[in-house]
Amino acid sequence: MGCVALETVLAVAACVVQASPAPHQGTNVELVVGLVMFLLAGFLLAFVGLSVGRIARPNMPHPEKASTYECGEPAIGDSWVQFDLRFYTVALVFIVFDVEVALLWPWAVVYRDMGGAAFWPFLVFFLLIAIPFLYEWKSGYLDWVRASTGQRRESVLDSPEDAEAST
Amino acid sequence: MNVIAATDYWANIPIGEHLWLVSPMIVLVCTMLAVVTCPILLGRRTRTITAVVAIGVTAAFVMAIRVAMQVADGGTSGLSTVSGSGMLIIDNLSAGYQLLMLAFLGCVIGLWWIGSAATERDAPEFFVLLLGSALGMVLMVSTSNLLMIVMAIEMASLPSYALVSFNKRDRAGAEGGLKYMIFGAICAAIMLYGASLLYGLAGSLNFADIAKMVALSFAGGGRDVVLVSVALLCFFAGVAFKISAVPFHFWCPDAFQAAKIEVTTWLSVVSKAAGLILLVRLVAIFCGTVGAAGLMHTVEPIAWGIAIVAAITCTLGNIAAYRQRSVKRLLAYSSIAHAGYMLMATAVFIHPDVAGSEAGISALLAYVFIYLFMNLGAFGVTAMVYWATGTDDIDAFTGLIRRAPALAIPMIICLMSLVGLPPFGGFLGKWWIWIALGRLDSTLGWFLIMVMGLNTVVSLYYYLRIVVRMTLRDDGQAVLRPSFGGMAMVNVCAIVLFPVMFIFANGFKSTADHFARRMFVPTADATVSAEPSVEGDHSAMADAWVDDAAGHNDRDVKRP
Repeated sequence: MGCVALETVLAVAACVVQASPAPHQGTNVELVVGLVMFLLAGFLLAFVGLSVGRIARPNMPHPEKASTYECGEPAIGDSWVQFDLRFYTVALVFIVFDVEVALLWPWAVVYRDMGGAAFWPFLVFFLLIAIPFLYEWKSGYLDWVRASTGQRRESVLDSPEDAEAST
Repeated sequence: MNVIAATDYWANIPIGEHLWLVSPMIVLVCTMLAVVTCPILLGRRTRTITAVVAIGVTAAFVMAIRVAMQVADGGTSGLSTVSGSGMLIIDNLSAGYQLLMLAFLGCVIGLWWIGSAATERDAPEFFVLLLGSALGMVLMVSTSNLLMIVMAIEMASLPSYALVSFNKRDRAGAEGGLKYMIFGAICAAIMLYGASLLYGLAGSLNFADIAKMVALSFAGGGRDVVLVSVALLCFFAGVAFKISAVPFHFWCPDAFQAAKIEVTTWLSVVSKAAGLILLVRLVAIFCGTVGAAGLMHTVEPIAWGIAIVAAITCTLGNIAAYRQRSVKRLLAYSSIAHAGYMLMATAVFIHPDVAGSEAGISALLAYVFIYLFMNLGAFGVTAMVYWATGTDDIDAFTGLIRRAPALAIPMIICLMSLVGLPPFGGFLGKWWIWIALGRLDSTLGWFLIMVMGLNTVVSLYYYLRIVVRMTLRDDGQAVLRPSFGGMAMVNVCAIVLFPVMFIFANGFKSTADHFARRMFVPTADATVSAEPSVEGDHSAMADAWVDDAAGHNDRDVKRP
């Protein structure tokens, strides 16, 4: 559902952008027509796909089929459990480097033609990411099992004065 | 095929003078890097890290003085309202704000050092967040490019969310921070939507072009008025969020109350001022462009929109402050009310008479300047009382004139200044806004003067309540012994507000007038351009980029 909403927004934006070079009166009508057609097509796509499948496939219900598929193993418990916070740290680090790679790609494409003018700015950019990464490493946030640095930090956080410092 | 158009930019990168113009920002970034390098090399000791930050902020301040002097002589200053596609604008306004902001950053770090440094275990994180939001605010005041505005507002906001909920063991802080963040995220989404619509409608990221498009549409010769209005409204949601104008103010009391008091000071004083200065710049560009096109009379609905938002904002802020017992929360509502007063001055800008606009800008700049000092003083005293007694309830202020006269007297001056009573600085700010409104001599002006007068009367009660507690009541609480540095800071604020501001009122106002006039004089720009000059066709660069990345240019690459 969220995907559809997002696509709708993108479609509206796309219509506006495309309509922008020609400031005539028909713009809004085109926009609405485009939007309606987009919604209709989206609805039809899902509806036709699902109904064709429903008509074509054989109907053999079985309780096993309705259960959650978990790598072939029987599922244990609920999936709404509290995740370890460390997963989020890993996810954040991943996103940072993912974005960096996305920015590295166009840079790498033009690098040969631009030489030093491309090299130095990117070095600065890389340092901006690398130094905080080193900091994170050094502070023990990346250790899955908290080693000595992490242990020390943890004990500091658990000290009572930290709780008292609340506003 | 020719490589991307950006090649031109990299070949002509303005290394000398233009890099000097952004040197305070570069120093801020380097300080942030130093703050995270420090624990790697030297360990996490709070004292070491604070020393590094102090050196960095001082260096940035020195650089900011240099920049202010460089742009003051007129050679590279002034904001052309019809300027090209500069990403950054370094002029009197941004250099002046930068200077003040760095001074206040020093004050906030000083407050932190007095009150929180002893128990702080995460000093590097705190400083990185603080400096990051400072950098965002500097960017906010020195741009008129849609993309940069959005980015700068985000850059100033994201660290602020984390700063509000900095202490992870504190439930109230987590709640305030979460409210702030969710509200901020929604406002950012709305603003981005508005920005994308504006870009789509005007075909340009430069606010001057957008202003032209808006004026044409209001004159009936351009785009659909409804669509343009919606786009403008959406875009200004982001700005209104930063200055906590009324439909976007809900985060303010909770976040301000939950945050550490030095963070509250930072957000209420410097962050709000950044939002206002951004608004000043945008509205000035708008007026300049629209006025030059002779279409000022067509955009009167915008002036009325701002006026109504301003009237509701200050009325609501004042009424909500009425029954607050927590002084921090009371000051949060008071800051909403003041955002309303300052918005009123913004409504003056949009007027056929450019002299009227100048009066509005000058009054607003003067008010922002005075507001910085009176809020810093009031929050500073509240912080001292909080650290000494452990509470910011209004009862903690009872008998303060006996317990700590060096805190009570500046507090009285700051509060009376916030009301806007005659001998104090706040009166001058209000008076100048009043004059600017009166000079409009229109329904709008008289309406706002009336609202402002009524609000001043209402606000008198809750500010006076604290003063009465401090002076006329006494329940025998212990004498306070605040630190010398804190007392010096609040007393300096008070001295600026009372004798200094009054003695130098004329000179101060003429400086503000000068700043305001500068905004309308298109002199040589000091705009740092990062957009390649592709005239007309904005898709050329994107297409070239995609072509090149795909490796073959026979494909028909279409923009979405």
